Amino acid sequence: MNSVALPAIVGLSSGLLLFLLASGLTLTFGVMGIVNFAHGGFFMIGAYTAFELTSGDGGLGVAQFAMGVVAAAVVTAAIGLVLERLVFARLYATSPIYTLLATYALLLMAQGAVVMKWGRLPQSAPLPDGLSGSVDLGSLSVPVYNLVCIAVAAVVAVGLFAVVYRTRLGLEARAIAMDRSMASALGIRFRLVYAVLFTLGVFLAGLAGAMQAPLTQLTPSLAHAYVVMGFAIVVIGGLGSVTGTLVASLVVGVTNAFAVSFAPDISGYAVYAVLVVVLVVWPGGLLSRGAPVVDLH
Amino acid sequence: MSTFTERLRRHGGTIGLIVIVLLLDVLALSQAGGSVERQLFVGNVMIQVIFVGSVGYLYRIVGVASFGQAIFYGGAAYTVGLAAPHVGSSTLLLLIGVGAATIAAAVVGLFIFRVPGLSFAILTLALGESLFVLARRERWTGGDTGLFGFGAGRLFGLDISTPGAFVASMVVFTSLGMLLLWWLEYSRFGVVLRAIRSSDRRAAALGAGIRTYRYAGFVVAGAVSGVCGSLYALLWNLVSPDILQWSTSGDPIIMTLIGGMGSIVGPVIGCVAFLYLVDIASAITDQWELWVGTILLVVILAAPRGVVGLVDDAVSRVLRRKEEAHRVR
Repeated sequence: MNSVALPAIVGLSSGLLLFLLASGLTLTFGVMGIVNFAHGGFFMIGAYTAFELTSGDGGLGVAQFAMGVVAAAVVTAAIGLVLERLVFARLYATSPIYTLLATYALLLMAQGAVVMKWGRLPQSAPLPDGLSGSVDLGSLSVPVYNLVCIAVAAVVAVGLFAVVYRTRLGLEARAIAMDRSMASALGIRFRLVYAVLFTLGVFLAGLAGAMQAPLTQLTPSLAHAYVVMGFAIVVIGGLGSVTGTLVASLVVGVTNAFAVSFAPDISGYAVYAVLVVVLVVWPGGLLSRGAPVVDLH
Repeated sequence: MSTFTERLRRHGGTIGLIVIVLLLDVLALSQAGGSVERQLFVGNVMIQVIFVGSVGYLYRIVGVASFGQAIFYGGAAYTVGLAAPHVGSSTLLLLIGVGAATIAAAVVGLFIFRVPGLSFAILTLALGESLFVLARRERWTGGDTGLFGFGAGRLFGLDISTPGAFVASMVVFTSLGMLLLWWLEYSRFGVVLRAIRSSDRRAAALGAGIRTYRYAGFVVAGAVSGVCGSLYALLWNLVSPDILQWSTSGDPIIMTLIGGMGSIVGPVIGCVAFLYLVDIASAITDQWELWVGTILLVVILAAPRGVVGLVDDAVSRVLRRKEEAHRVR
């Protein structure tokens, strides 16, 4: 029983963090039709910024750590907003293959910037003493930080669903996703919606990176690893569906955790195995609702 | 005057290709006697131009976006490495590598019609990544070190046993490879694919088997990638997991874009430009990602049609001015 419960909790924790990452990809893809490879770069910048802000001399308090994580997400979002104005705003009119390559260029630049600032060697971000222990749930000893991640990510995920389905911004975004020219004709300022949504997505990526930082080794290849993971999740979930992205994130997170516990030999392939199986059985992804199919040309 | 412009437009690709292949051949022959380091670099350029040409072909003519051509390129190279202890002939090794890549492309290609374009691209990326993980992890693939010592001898009768000899022989192989790419583009096969690309319904109405042609186009592009991967293994005499990394799939797309997506010469020009750029950048700085990324972004924002697009625009402008001058008179 316990041998199943622990990977399930760890998987839930990493799955929810993956959702924070992948939901931004789903929003930019579903609403703006942009295949944003730079998203992995934002995740990485969030992770390294949190590392920079939290790894000082002496003991690290829980409040200090929390502020570091939030500050890292805000810094990342600010970088995202600037890039939206400078680069992405020029890309909305061009063909998807060019936006893809432009965002790929940004990914390379983010990697280069990280190499310049922190080097290529792996770094590890610290956890505050208050979060590094375990707590006993019945006979099970669960790492506190995983529970914190579950709680925080779940709250943020609920907030995101509320934004998408319960606010005027979400309504306008969904209208744009359905038919941009019609939405625009009805007076929706799609450029503004794009900028807000994009920044929101980048904030979530930065937050996911900052929270993931203590759980992983920080290297400049983080950006690529996580953007591939994110896109795999978006594709598994059914392109452009936020609910599908949530389901897919949890499936991937839990599968990964179980693979690490029970079949470490194949754990590196878990995501790809899920991807191939899903695409063979449901070619459109788990929850595709006639989502926009972007032809990459 | 306009007929001249039209003719130039129609044959611009072919003329450009001939000029570039001749320049490459001169480059290869001039380097064949240089240092081993330069021989390996130029030999690599001679292989990459075909590989990138095949990726450009896949995007531009077949109309399939793949992020995983490393599967076929690296897969063929590893097949050569794994078969080398059992096979003496380099020619046979190359054929085995190409065979493996073709089979892989025939399997992966089945997904083209099943899943949406972006899903297919991500699927190929994921398959490439899992091969990368596999190659690094397993003992029989040599782990992080990879495989080495293939004892290259003669390829279709031409000496490739040393880097210098390889580069000299590549004059023949690269020229043939370019001829193949040219044929794939301008033959009936290429014309039908282009017709499908511009309007699949109209092409279907004219009687073209859309699925068969696109599938065949994808498999052919994979097979050409396999040729290049096998040549790579024979040139370097080693194969390491790096060859399966995402950059093997991603770089050719970047090169295609730098050169220009719109014509057959674009990928070739982009490839040569990119390889020299990275060569120079990595000699000067450790930060090549930053520089390559910046240059790429500038190219996309300033010249979305690449180097060929810039040349094309300039030529058109000159011709138009002449035409107008003519009319005024």
